[in-house]
Amino acid sequence: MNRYQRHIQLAEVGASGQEKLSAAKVLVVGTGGLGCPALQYLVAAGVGKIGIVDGDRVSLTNLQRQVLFDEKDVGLNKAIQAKEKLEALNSKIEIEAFPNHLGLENAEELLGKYDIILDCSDNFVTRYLVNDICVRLEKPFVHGSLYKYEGQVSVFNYQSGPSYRCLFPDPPKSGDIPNCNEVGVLGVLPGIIGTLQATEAIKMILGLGSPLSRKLMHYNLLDHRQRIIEFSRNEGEIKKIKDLDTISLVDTNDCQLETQISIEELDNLESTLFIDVRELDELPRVEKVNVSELPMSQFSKEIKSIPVEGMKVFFCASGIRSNQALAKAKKQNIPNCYSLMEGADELETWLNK
Amino acid sequence: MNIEFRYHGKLSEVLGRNSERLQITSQNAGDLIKEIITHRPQLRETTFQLAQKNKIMKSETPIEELDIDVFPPFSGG
Repeated sequence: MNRYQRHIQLAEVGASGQEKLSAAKVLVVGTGGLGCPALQYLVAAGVGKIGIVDGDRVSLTNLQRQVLFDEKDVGLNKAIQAKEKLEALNSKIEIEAFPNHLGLENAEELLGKYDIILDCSDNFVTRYLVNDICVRLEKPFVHGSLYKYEGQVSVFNYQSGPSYRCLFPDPPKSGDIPNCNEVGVLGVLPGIIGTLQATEAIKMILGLGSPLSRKLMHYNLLDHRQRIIEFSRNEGEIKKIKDLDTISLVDTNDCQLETQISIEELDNLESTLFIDVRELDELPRVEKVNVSELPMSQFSKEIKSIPVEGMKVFFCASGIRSNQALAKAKKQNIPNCYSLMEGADELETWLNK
Repeated sequence: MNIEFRYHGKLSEVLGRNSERLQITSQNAGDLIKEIITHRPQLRETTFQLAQKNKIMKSETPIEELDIDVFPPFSGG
């Protein structure tokens, strides 16, 4: 029995459609809430070559929505763990894991190797990088993004269609409200949006229906209200990106920062100052190491109290506020600052091992 | 014109409401953005797009509808 029987039975797909899927190459950027479900469906559908990029490690708070992972994966690289799980689902396809963050140094080469890109990232820096590289390579990519109970999906650069910058020419400014001040998200939302992203990729491969090109789908989970907003290509924005000698990362107030550190990488605990940027009533308080308390609500006012000497590691509940603290410290040119990728819970557990 | 604005994503949080009616004198989207900001200065530093009849408005697009959607980009994933 052919494992893709139910695809082949569809007149619009058939054996030839299944062959198209098996000849297709899809890269998924980010293996978080969006990437996990998208990958499951792409792998199950028999997309022949799938790449997974993610430099992050699985944390306990990911498990509420990142359905590829389980408790044993906590602390391990997401791309590598995802590959392992997905190979169990379908051993007949080729899956490549890239356990690094997408950056200027690797993006063009990596994206260049695939036909379709899924942007399942969680920050504007990566989103604009994916867009700009895809514009220059004239490669279609499927955008998916979330805010609490709402999601957006669109297909960019498809058959001379518009790009992400045709919709939002510039990222929110650095002065904008932070995009990830520990925003909550209902766990099923990325399941819905990530599955829609996989749907769009599969439709493009099969030539089925009409992809969301020139359209932004906006979905609100609370009332299931969907809106499909049309927009058009902005030649000026496309040309601006194509004409650049080299592209650069956008400057925005965002989650992603380059100086993150994970628990596994910590050493010389005696000479490290841990700076707890959570508010004073947040638990658990960490005491086994050298900790100084600098809640985000006081951070800007007290930033001068951070010593210049020695290694400093900011931490919070999940690694997001600590990133913001890191950004502020960097602006003040305070050297040797890091943001802990994990939260206080994981730090406490690790210190008690 | 009395226009109903529907705010999406974090804009509804920034403004503390999902929608509101504002008295507007602008004739096109470019002027409307400036006018919204004078009513709602919290939006000054935010990025958003306006849509009417489910179409993104360019700055020269005339205002024809009495319902306008205000969309920010989302970053979460």
